[in-house]
Amino acid sequence: MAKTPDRSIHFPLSQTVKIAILSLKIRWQRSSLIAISLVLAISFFAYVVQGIGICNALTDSSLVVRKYCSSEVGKGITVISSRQVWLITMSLLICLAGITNAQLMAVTERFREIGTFKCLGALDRFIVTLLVVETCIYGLIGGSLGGFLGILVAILALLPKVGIWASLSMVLSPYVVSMTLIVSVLVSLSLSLLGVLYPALLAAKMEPSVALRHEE
Amino acid sequence: MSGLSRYVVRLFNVKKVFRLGRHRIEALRGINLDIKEGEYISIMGPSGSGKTTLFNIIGALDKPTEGQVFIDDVDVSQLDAYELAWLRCHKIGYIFQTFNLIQVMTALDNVTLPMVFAGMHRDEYMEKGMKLLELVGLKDRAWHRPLELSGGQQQRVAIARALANDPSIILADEPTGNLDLKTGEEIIALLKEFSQERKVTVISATHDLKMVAVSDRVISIRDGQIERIEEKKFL
Ligand SMILES: Nc1ncnc2c1ncn2[C@@H]1O[C@H](COP(=O)(O)OP(=O)(O)OP(=O)(O)O)[C@@H](O)[C@H]1O
Ligand SMILES: [Mg+2]
Repeated sequence: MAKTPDRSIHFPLSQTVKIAILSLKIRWQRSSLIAISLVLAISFFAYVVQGIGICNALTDSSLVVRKYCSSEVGKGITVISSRQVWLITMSLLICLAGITNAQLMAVTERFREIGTFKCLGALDRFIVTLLVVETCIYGLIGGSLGGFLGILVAILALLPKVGIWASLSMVLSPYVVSMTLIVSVLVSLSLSLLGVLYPALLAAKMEPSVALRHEE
Repeated sequence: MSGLSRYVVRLFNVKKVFRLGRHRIEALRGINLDIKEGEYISIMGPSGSGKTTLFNIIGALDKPTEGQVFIDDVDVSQLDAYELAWLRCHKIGYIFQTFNLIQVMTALDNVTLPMVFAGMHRDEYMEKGMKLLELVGLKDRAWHRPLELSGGQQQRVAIARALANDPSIILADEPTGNLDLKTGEEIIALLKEFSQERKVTVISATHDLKMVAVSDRVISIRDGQIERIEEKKFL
């Protein structure tokens, strides 16, 4: 070989993002399945977090409300808190298993495409990056949608309980809402990344000849 | 051919064994082969004789169990992951029976992909991509997805993609296998044209007698061994 390979060259991220978005669009059925499972798990998570947040906000701000809250909602929450932690954990674990499974199938379906990428000069790193970018998109969409849904349900569920004492502005405390959203998105992102790790490494490590043998 | 021609591919006693549980499948059983620059080679053989296995090993897509493979005088087994990717990107263009275009990308994106991997600039690869598509007669289809193209058109895109980084070798595994007779002929003519104009070495596994007719040498393999090699003048 006359020229030696330039090790500094790597695939531009913008191109990777473009391919990732195209892939998500084309495989929209599987994409939406993964996204929906994320939305459901995250919305439950957000619902609980938001509920606790509202109650804390209420207890902080008003004695009358604290009295009410500790007797009704607050008590409710403290009593079932360990159960809720358990529920959150379970729902997130199930979601994780679902994502890993869906990603594994999605990656298996794409072995030949991955083999082709490698024939054209892709490094293992490109394959991993592509799958991680796709997963981050799922994670962001699932996390924010799920977060919104959970917050909405939590507010609707708690409004009648705290009743007239709580003004809408207090329940809709921007601090609590934004914290819940941020935490939801972060949890969603880490969950989806954890789920894609194994399939992505599996796909990236595969010899191109093996990947190309797979039927589409 | 003059005595000065270089060998682009050399295989020394290449063996490939697949292990499936307790079974040992000897797909290649000691292949020795020298291929000169600019040659047009057909590899023939019955199903299961080892053509695809040989294709993968020449193309650095798989490692031989035993023996050595040299591409442009470089021992492929000595290359690390970066160098292998570089070799696949720059030295070899691959063409498959099933076309293997990236389904989500347009014809133009498919053709430019190897150039993106090679680190070319956008203006440069867009221009070259259009030129290549024009060369294979698909300029007006540049923005179409593979699913919107016929088999013959997809294979033309694949040929344009294989030529993207001006490789010294084009490897094809039954490139006309999924095409009708006439379309297959067009593909063969295209490959022949490029091999002559660009001095690209074409190595193609095939059952197609039309392909054999344009070859400089025909290598017949059976049960993982070279059965015979026929020079064109004797055909
Ligand atoms: N990855 C693999 N694992 C196990 N066995 C394999 C593998 N790849 C090929 N083989 C075996 O090696 C032998 C040669 O296969 P190969 O695909 O090279 O044949 P071929 O000449 O390309 O056949 P065809 O004309 O049908 O494409 C076959 O017996 C096949 O079953
Ligand atoms: Mg084959």
